[in-house]
Amino acid sequence: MIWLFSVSCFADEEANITINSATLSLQDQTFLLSADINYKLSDEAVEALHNGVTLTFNIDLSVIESRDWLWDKHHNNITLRYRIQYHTLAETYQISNLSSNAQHNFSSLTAALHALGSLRDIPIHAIAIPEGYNTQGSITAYLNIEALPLPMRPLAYITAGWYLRSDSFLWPLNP
Amino acid sequence: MASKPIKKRNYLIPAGVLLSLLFSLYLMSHATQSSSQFNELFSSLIVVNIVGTLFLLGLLIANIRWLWKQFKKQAVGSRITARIVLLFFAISVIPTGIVFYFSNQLLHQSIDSWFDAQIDDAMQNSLTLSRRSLDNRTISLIKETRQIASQLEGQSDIFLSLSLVGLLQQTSAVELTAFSKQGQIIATTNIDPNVLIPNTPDSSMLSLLRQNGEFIGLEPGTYKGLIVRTLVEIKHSAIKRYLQAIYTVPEDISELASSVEDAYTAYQEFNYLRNSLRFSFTLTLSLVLVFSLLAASWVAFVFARELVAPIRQLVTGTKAVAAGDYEKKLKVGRQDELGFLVNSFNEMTSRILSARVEARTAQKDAEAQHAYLETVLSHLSNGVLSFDLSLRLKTTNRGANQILEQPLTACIGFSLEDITNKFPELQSFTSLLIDHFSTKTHEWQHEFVFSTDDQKKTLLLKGTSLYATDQTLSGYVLIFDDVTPIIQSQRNAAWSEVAQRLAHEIKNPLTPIQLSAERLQRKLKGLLDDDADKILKKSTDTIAQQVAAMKSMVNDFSDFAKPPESKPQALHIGQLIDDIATLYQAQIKQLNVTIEDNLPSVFADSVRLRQVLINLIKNAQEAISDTDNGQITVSAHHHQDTQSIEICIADNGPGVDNSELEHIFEPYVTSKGKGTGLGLAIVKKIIEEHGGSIRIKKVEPQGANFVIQLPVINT
Repeated sequence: MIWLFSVSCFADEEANITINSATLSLQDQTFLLSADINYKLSDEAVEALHNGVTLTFNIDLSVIESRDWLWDKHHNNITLRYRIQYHTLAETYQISNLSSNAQHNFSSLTAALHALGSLRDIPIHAIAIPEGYNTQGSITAYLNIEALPLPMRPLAYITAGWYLRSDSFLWPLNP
Repeated sequence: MASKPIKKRNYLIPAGVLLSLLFSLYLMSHATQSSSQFNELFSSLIVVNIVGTLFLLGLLIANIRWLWKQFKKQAVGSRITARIVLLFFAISVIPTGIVFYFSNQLLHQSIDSWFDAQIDDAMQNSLTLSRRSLDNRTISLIKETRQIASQLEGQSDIFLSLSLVGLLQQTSAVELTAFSKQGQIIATTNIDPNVLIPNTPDSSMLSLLRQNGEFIGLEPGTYKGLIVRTLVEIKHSAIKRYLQAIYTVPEDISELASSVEDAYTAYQEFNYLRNSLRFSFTLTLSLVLVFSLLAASWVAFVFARELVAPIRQLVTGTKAVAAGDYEKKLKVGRQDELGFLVNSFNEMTSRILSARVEARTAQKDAEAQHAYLETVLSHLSNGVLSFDLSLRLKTTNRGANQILEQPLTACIGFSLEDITNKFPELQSFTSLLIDHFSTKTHEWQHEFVFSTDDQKKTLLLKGTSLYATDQTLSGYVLIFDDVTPIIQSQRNAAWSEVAQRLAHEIKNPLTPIQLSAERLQRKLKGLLDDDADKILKKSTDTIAQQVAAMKSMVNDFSDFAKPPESKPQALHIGQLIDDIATLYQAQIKQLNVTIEDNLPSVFADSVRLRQVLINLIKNAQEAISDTDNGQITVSAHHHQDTQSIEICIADNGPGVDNSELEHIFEPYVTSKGKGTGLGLAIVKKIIEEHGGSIRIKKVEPQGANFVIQLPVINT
């Protein structure tokens, strides 16, 4: 962990993932997640993408129950997985939601990343918010290095440009 | 006593780590194949292998530290352990390094050989070819879209939807959608009635559309194949509207193009991953190399320890044996040659132990025998001397010291010549021994008169040769005894017999002679003339006197032969000497009496001891009668060492000749003109009856000193 932390300190400050906002709303007994995530890829990631490497981004969503005397309890850890890949022939960027298999093509990387970061009313079924407790929503977005091609993984773990991970974004669920 | 078994190390954990690492490395090599089910475990396996390797490294460092400490302490087996480890390391590092180097080189070269400029170009060209092929199709499709848009010119939003449905049937498009300037969908229609949401363009497409008035793009389809997205402006509308038409590329062309794209993408990705591949393979190989080296080193330590353990045991054992611990037993934990060696060591120590026990027993027996002999020898009144072949004194006893009156114990190791040099008084004695031992090989016997300052001793010497067990001559032994008292007692006995007989034979006729003489005098008194009467009286008086003298002499003989019964009691000898000295104080001008204070008592008959002292003082008085300035000294001292009282009666008279010294205490030996010669014989007899001794010493320049020793009463 210390090693990972030290790597993150040296990461390219430009390349990062920031979560600007996130909400979880209940509609028709279904929680809908909306979030604005700003993806800025590192040069290494962009180069890999343009060389045919598929990048997978995970978005971890969890409900945290704050406790006074014990550590916080995490409920309902859910991971949303998105994939971005570049089509050489069409020169487009394709975003795929690995959960729903929905795909969208974009002519520019900026548009693709913008679309990737704009989560609008994503239904989250397997979630329940414990009532009567002080709970918070937590969301973290990161590049899944384990989804990279195998030869890249060792280097990716020790290269700052591949450490793309947002801070946890917390927001209260029980106002 | 069995030695502590050498602590058995637990190799299970390191061995388990080794096997796990080996398995992990196998999985890792397997995972590098893209189709492997362990693909997802690759990173975890790397971490596991690195941690395992670090563990092994820690193990190795700990072992090296241990070895270094052992080396510094110069512990047993540290050098051989170091050598074995270095040997193992060298043996493992050279082939492993060579394999690593060539594998790495081969791998890099193989990876590089997969990529070639011509293949790059070919791939690029095929992709370009595909693009060109599709470009022609897309150009015709944009024209078709323009025509559709031209048919929609001037239509309101309400009619657009209806028009789009009709136009979709007339064209090859699969979806037609009308947008506002802001990208809002005005109307849409799809050839598939199930598709309700149109495939909307992204912001950049719209931006390009607004900028150029048209947009055309090739995209991958939702599920498979390729689609062509065309966007054109619908002119002459009240509000600016755009038309999007989506066409599918024919399946065969689409498949071909996708195939080319997939191949190109795969090649491009592969090319891109070239360095990563190298790194991964090198990393895997390096891990294998490091693992091999560490494992070999650790195994070397294990092997060396196992090998050295019995050697260390043996060294400990030999040290223990060197320190005299023959009961040391080593634990045999193996069946190989080292185990045999340890067994042999144990057998050797057992034998040494039994031999030592036997030797100790024999030594104890010998010591006991020696002590017994020494005790016997020391309590022997006989003198015993033993010599080696060069006639050096080996043993002596107290009897020899007493008889020869020299401390021969201090002369152990001395030759006879050395003894003579040290004690010149023994010259005649040593000369005799040299003579006899040199010439007579077997037993010999000799009577030898040994002269000391004051007396002569008759010694009976018996010499014999000593032989070792192999019948070789190993030395000589001399046994001698002072037979002077025996000879003396024999003489005394003979003299007693003579005296008793003389007394008996002479005393009997004396009384008739005396009575006859008295009768002659009585009967012839007055019968003879005056002259004859005078002659008779003188003759009978002479007879009576001589008979009286003879009676006195016979009584002396009788006393000598059969002394009166002794009545010994505790006696203060100092008081007795004082009493007798007082009697003679008036008669002797210079009578010096020196008596030590607090003299212990002696057990003696005071009458007979008084007789002795008077006899000796009278002797001394007579001796100094013709001497000017005659002087008699009487002294008494207590000797702690011999627990005796020494009484000395010395005079400065003419003394005794050397020739008389030996026989002075014998009957009828006297230097005086008168007397029976029995005085000193009786004195000696009385002293010996009291358990004491008497001897005469010369006094320089002249005189004699009678020394009496009487034992004191033991309290």
